[in-house]
Amino acid sequence: MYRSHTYLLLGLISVALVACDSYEQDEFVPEVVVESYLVAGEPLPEVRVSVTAPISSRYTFENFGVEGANVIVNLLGEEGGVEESYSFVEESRGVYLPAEESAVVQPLRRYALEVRVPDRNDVVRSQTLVPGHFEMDTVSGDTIVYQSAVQLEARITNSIYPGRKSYYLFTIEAEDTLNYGLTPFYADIIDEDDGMSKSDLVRNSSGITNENDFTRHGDGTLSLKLPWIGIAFYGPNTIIANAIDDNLYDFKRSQMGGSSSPGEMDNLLDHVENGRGVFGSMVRDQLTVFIAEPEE
Amino acid sequence: MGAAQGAHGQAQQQSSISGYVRDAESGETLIMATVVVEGTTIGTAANNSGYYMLTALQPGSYVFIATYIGYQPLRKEIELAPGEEARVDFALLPEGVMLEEVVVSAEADEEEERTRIGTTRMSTRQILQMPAILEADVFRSLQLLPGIKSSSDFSSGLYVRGGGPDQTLIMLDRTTVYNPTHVFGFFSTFNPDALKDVQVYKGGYPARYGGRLGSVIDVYNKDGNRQQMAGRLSIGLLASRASIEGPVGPGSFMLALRRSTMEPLLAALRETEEGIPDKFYFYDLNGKLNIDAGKNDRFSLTFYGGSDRLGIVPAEDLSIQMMYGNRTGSLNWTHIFSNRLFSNFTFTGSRYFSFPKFKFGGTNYDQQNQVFDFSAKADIEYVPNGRHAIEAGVWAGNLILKYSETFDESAEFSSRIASQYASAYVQETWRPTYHWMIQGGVRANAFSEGGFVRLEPRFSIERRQNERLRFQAAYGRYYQFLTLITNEVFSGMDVWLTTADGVPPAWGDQFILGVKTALGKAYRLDAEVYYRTMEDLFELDPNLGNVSGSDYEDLFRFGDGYAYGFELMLEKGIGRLNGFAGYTYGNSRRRFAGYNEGRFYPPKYDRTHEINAVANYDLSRRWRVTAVYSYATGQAYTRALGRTQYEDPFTSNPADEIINGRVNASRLPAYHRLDVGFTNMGRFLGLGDYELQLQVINVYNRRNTWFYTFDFEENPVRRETVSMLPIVPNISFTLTF
Repeated sequence: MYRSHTYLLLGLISVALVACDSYEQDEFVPEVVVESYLVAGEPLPEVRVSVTAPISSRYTFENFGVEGANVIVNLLGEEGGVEESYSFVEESRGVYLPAEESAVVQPLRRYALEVRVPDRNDVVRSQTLVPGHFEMDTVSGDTIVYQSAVQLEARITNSIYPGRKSYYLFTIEAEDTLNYGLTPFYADIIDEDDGMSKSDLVRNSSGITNENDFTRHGDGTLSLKLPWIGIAFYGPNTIIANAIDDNLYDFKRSQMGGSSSPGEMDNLLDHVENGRGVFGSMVRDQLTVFIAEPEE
Repeated sequence: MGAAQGAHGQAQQQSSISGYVRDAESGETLIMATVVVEGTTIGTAANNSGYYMLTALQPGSYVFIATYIGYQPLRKEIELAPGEEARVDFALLPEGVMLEEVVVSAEADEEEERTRIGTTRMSTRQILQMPAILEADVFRSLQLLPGIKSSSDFSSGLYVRGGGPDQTLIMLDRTTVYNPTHVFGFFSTFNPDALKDVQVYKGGYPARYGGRLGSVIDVYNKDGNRQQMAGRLSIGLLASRASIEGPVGPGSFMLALRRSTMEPLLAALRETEEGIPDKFYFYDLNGKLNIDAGKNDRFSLTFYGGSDRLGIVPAEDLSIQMMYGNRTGSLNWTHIFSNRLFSNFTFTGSRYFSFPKFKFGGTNYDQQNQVFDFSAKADIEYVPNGRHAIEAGVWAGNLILKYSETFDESAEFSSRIASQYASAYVQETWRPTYHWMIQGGVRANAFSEGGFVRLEPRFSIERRQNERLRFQAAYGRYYQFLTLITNEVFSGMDVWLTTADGVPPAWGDQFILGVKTALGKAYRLDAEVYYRTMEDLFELDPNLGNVSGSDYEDLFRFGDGYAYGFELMLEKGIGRLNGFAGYTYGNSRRRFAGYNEGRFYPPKYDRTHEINAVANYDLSRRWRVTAVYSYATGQAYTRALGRTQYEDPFTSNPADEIINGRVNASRLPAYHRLDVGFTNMGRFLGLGDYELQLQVINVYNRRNTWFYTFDFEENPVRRETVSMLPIVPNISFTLTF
């Protein structure tokens, strides 16, 4: 009887082990990284081209920037054909500037990036559709007392993005960090010993909002109160509203989200063929407000 | 005894016997106790109410033996007249209590239900004896069983046979518990002093349960001592417990309170450390009232209330307030129609709530998250004869999930899902001969949110080769209409979501083969192989951006998966040295569209090999030593292969990106740990019996790796290891009176 037990157990173990599949860890392979942010109404921006570095390497962009790349940005027509083609020249290692400075990014137009890197056969490609134009104004005045009853409120005309609602990112940039100090929350969390300094807080970004987060008015405009947490410095601050394209939306949301397991971050979502990175576009408007320190 | 030989022979003049099996000292019913006719193969197991039914017996003289693990078997001679429906209750004495006239020779318990495929149980005594991280814990004890894994030292979450925590149905006194955690997942919510029984269906669970893809943990509170007033006080490093139970009218009651007692420690730490909470405590209260309204009717009212609260001001203009917990209640009526027909009717109510509030830099963020589940269920068991047993039941309820987020005083997201659900099942157990047991059943589920109706067939077959050897096989299909958004290190903000239009229920098939053996009088050796599929898995998209105005189905990502494994468990249930050792070989895989290039990957908690061993040794009447050893393949993690950097136009600093390899394709170093505990027992100042427990967790201070982080302030980037628990001493004192 005990022999039959043994055979049975061995049989069960065998079934389990035979069913084993393999899922091996892959190895590091350098990939081309492209980065460029088109802003509607502004000249074509630089395109940065680099390769990924092994995790154990000392990293500087200069060390991993790609020399001798052939960089082209095409303005596409409605049918997808090339309407205009803009070539780029290498300004420094890995940094490419438009050969002609006169080209201006147009809203609601599609641009295509093509990068050819020496010794690589695959062309790195990406496309972006630039969001539609919008304007921003403030309805809460030019000066606001920090954490007072009157909160910074921005009013915008809605940007258009074909096929979906508009997504926005707000950036708040302190204009005078020499003469004005940090707001209490940031003053307390800043830890110079831990590598965090005031300069890290000069430009703050909100999470992604969409037009459903705004109050919609009868004239079609939208308004949104900006949370106090976005204000890191007293004094003059520039509020920049950015309507972003799909590439930036995916890039930023994957930067902010990802795995819920501790210590793990998923790879960022990108739309780059034969490489990685971001070829994004946005349209933006800005205004300046003065954040006054509340009286004691 | 001649009557017993042909017990299931003729239909006319047949007799039957039924009744409760109880603890002789407390009157507690003993769930799944076994009653057999001595010298025959006729027997049965008590149900979840501790009630057994043996029917179709020929008139005559019988000797019945009732057994239950940890108790002395009890034999009774009964004369059954033609057509008699005898009501015979058994009162078993716990081991260690001597009463010569009823003691029979102890043998390895042949618990019918415990030997069912995919099933295991753990006694509360075992849970209380094990070395514990600060506090005895039910789920942490269950994590030692083959096929049940933990995610880390910091989590009491149960990962059963490749399934996540939401794939296990957790019930307390027949009521669903939606967040069974304390201390944000570090401990489970169940106070071991209040518990009578913990049943674990790791897979292939029977038709009377449903609603989860994987497994069931069915927990029952004590009824309360029917004989005398009794109490228990326990003081530990983390929490203290008090319970009282006793007879009341024609019934009994039980009340058990547990509360954390960390305030003095926190106050002392606040003197020297920053970031220590101003407020942090948890409590739970279990209660049960039983009324025996005649010999055929019993009513019980049970409730549970527990909550965790945290208040902390870690920095200027930054405050965090957390409050989460559960409330459950049930009213149960057990009615015995006859010796052949047993019934149970239950009304249940369950509420889970979580109200985190954050205030940072003048901006408020609040969450309001609640689950309400009110249901009614009815179950009957009909035993027409010794070869057939039929179970059937219905369960219907109203499930309300309310969730809202407020950011900066503006409603960001608000959702209220109210879904009615109903299920019905029927199951027949057929024993054509002593050697064969065939069980078939079907469960029908309806879920109004999305309008889904699904059928779940269940089937199992058992070949009992002899008294010591059983071969088993089972198949079942399972559907799940809920999914859980949780974080393995922080369960205080768990959110449940349901199916809906465009979000179909997850489903899966389970196939199990098993062999159960008894080796001699003391040892049992069980082995099972399982394979299960998981289809239409739906979980919150981890890369959700801004969801305002999004369609419900856009919140999810959809995928599939499978798991297979082999489990071996050797158990020694009696003797000075007792305990168990388990080995698990397991593989679990998931796949989601657009993730990991569409490849299957192991979830983080996947462990290929796992060994757990628990040993208790009675050094003397006053001293016991307990040791627990655990070994497991390192958990899966995603290895960082490369890096790059972006000139992020929205922030002051460049954004670093780690380039990951295949998802969870690497393994952390192997996990292993040894815990040892000593228990001193005796009388305490004539007040009662005491137990002083001195325990050391992680005796050799193994710094098991929890996860890696990367410090981008360093160049090259520095990988840092975050470790799990170091060596932790524990002491507790328990007085039972």
